[in-house]
Amino acid sequence: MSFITRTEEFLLLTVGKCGDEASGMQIRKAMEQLTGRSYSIGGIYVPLDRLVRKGLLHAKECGPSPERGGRRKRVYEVTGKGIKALQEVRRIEEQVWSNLPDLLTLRLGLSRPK
Amino acid sequence: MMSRRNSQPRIAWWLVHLFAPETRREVLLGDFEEGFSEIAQAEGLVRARRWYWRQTLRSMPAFVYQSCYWGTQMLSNYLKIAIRNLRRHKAYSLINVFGLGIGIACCLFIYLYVSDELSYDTFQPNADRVVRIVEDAHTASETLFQATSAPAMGPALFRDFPEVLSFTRMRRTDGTLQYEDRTFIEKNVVFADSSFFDVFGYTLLRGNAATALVAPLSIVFSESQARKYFGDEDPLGKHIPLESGNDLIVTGVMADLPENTHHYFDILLSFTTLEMGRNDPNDQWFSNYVYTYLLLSEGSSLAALEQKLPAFLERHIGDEQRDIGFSYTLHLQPLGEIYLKSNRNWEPGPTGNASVLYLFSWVAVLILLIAGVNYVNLATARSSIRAREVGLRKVVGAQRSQLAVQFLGESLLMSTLALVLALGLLALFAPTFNVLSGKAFALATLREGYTPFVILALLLLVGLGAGAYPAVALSHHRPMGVLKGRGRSSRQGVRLRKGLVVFQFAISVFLIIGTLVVSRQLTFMRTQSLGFQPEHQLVIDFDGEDEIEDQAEAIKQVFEALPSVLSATMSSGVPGTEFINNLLVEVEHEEGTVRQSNMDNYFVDFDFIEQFNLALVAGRGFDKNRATDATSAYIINEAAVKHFGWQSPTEALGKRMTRGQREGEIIGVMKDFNYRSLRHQIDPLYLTVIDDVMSFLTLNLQAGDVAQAVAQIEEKWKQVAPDVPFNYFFLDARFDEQYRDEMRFGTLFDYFAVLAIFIACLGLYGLASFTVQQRTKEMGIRKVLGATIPQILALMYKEYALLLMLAILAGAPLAYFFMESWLADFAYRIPVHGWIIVLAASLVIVIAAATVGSQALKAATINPAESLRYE
Repeated sequence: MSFITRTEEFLLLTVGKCGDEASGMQIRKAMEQLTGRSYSIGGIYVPLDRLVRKGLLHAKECGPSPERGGRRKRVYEVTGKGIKALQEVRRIEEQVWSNLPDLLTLRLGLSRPK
Repeated sequence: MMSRRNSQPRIAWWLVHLFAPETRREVLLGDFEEGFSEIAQAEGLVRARRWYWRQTLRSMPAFVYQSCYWGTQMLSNYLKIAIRNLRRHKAYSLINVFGLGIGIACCLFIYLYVSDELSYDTFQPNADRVVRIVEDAHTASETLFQATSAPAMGPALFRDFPEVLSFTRMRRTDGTLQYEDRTFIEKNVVFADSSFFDVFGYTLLRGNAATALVAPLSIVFSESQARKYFGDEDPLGKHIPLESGNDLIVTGVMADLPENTHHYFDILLSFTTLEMGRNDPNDQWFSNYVYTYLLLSEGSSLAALEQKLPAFLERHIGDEQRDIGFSYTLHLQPLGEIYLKSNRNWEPGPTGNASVLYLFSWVAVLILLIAGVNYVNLATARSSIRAREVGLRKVVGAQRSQLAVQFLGESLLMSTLALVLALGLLALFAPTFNVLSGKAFALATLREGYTPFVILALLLLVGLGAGAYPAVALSHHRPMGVLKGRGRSSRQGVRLRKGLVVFQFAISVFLIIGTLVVSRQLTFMRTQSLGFQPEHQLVIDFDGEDEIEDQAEAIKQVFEALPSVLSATMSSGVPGTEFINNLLVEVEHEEGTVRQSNMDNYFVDFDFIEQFNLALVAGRGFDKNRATDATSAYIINEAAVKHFGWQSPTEALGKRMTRGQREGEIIGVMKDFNYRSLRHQIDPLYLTVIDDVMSFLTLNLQAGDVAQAVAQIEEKWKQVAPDVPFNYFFLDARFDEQYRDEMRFGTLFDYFAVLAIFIACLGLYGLASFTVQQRTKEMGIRKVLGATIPQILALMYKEYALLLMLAILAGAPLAYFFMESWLADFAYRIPVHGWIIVLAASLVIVIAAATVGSQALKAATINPAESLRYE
């Protein structure tokens, strides 16, 4: 099976954090704040649309607002399948990180496992 | 707010508008504006504008990516639908692909043929500046149109006119050449001036082009000829002995000539060799045995030079022309036009026929049109089936232009498949086509020159041409109407389809009449009594070898002693072949006046008339026992009697006749016989007995085992004349060969006609089956209400009967006029009989009826319970 990529993971989490307000603009800003990675206005839709095609996000276009010159916006929402995919990578990540040998744990600067 | 929004950078806004994918344009412009107003409020306009620009540029890659992505998504969807349609309607797809494929294959074949014919002599680097002088020679009674000219003309033109940069004369000859133990009869030998390689761009592989043809007795071989004589030895400097005691010296080897030249040769001799004879050819103004080619200077006008030629002739030979009552008009022919446009006497090789090329080009266009029409017809007929798809696409937002692109794409896909099929057919039938056309094409020929572009152009032409109307018609459906179920094709569409069917069958009628007329004419020519006996005549061409000529009677007796040989005769030419002389004679006219005329002639022996079974209508034949018959007797044909204006053949008897030094009288008149192909009138002809210009030995064979007879004769020949190659042909076969062009034309015409009709029938079949499918329910109801099978059949046929009538009315007169003009070329021809037209019309009706028949029968016999099951 294939996992979602790190970028996809971050995007999905960001969309989740933005809640009802997850428009392209909001996701862009949040991504920049959270990960330091900046997308162009056009560029953000490329990975988002890919996630929509994979069924991990759901998109809808909703109500025009005055600050957009009366234009609609596109709002995203994480689907059930998206949530499952996130849980999956998290579970596997924890599984892989757990029970590291002492030496490695020290070098990585982690606290010793109890 | 307003002012700030308006201060968005206009150009950047416009760029976003232009490049953003159509489906996202609104959202993106909204995002841009939102971000812009936020930044403008927080950081000021200048920064906001800068931000806007930066974002625009950074978004570009994403925009481009998305456009491509959606483009390919749509394309792959179109392709998917197209392939589904192809597979779901197999019969329909096959009809289209086959029709178009055959059409394209025909077109490509014809294109190859026509472009090869057009390519003659174009390989010459100076093709646009080289001209040939030809002459119209006027005697008191006639004008001869000659391809040849007099040897004095070339040098004089070169001296008189500065725009003539160079000239070369070519005199054709044939003869036997011997090197060591290898002896060959050479038919394509040419004497040429030393400037030959200045005028023509042939490359000399060995030797020096400037000097190769300067010295007398120089000989230049083509590469393959050199190999024939010398094998791997170096040919340069080799000696070839002549009977005169001189040796020819090889001074060069040139590359083999391409096939597409009007003047083919494979051996060159220096023209100065001719100057060794008694008469200096450079003074001869009234013997016309050379072909003269001029190289004109850049930018000089051919017409201007031609206008100066009458004065040129007057200056040099004005008085002589008047003295002997013989004059010239000179014309100049551009090199590139000789092959197709010149058809004079004594052309140096076969010439093409421009009108046949036009005809074939038209056939190609017609066949492609028929195939294209099929596509248009079937596509529009089926438009109601596609209407739902169109309606649905429109409902979900497809533009009309997108739909048009989709349907154009489908027709392109179809034509691509057809092209693949066509290339397959081309590879499969190239050998057949080569036999028919006498060319040498292979699939690889398609990669040469402009051909790949022509193929591509053909593909686009067929794809877009055939697809254009359906694309417009299909994309036009209104979703509301369609989805409600009102998808029937419009009345206009029906009328167009009927018009196209009429058009297709008019072409079919035309082609059938053409085919019938051509084949009737060919049969007529081949079965027409020629007036002499061409069967069982084996002709040995010994090319005037003295050793045969000198012992003619003895050799004849040797062969007559063979059981398979009935009789033998020797002559300068044989009827039914191109070997004939045309010489000036003087004939006594009323009250002792003498009239000059050019007449065809054969120099013969005493057995000629009997062996060829020629009939005499007045006087007597040649008689061995009269001494004067061997020196001064002439026999002429009826055409000559008419030509000289005598009332009856008997009036001609005893008239004085002079050829050269040979004064004599007319002793007999023979019945006209066709000594040339039936293309030509029978011209005035005379026979006279001379024994030292013989070239052919003709043996009349007993009917029986021909192969054995030939073997016996060959064996004898080797005993009698070991040095002369045994070169023979059968007269009847050779006579038929003169119709090779016509037969070729006829066969090609047959093939193309059958294919055209086949394609038209495919279309008709498709259309009929579709109509039947559409009217199944109607027929079911009719049957329930009591219609009989014949009634329903009549109903189905009625639809097409009118169309066929119209097609016949349009096609038949066209064919009539066209074939009349084709037949006008023949001196002996059939009329375009009414029955041919009736036959062609009935053929078309029968073919069409059979095509529609199976479908009509299906409609008539279907069980109404089945057809109405779903109502």
